[in-house]
Amino acid sequence: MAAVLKKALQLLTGNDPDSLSNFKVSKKRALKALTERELIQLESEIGAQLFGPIPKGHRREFFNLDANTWIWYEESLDASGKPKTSTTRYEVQDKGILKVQEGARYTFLEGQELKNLTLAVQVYYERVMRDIYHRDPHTGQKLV
Amino acid sequence: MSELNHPSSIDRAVNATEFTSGDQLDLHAANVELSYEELRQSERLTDEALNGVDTQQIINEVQRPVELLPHQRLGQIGLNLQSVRSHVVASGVTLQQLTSIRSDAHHSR
Repeated sequence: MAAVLKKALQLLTGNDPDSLSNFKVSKKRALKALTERELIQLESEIGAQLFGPIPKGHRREFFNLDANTWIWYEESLDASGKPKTSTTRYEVQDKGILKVQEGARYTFLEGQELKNLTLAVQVYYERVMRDIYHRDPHTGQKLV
Repeated sequence: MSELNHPSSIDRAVNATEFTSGDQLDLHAANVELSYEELRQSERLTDEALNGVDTQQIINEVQRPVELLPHQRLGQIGLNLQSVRSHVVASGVTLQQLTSIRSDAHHSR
């Protein structure tokens, strides 16, 4: 679990020297082979847009971390101007989707929340496959 | 005695396969015929049961993809994404290449 959180944190904070900060990268970097992490960041650009407009001063990330983990991250400033963050991890398990939030809150998704996440993930997948990887989401074949 | 009253070689062969009680198979001619009759009866019942049902409909039902539960669908999507990412990383695709593909795709819409 620590490894998953570390990976997620690195993705979110971009504290790796090789990271692409919003993909404003040098020409030299743009010519280097992409890493998995950079691909996830590209995907998150799409993921962040799936839940409506992002309020000014907010930062949102939504992405697939690995085969069984999805991350939703929100960052904003509270009334006193202090940064406020919220991370929710969704784990795909045999019994369902486990929602894990800070403070050791664990719940299996159900009802409307489950429907909403499923829909968001399907839209994410459709758009990421078409817009980033240029592949048909259903067959995996390259789009012509 | 006519020729028909003599046991033919086929009859002898059938008699030779008549197993004694306690064996699992009893291939005596009468039992074989009984088995055939049971088979025919079972075919008739099947035909009656399927009466009026379109064969193509049955095939479609069998081939109908199994609906995935939401968490199974998410798991499948996660695996697909992992697979595509691994392929892209292994292929050494650059950001420039990827964005040019994306740009081409947008222009072609």
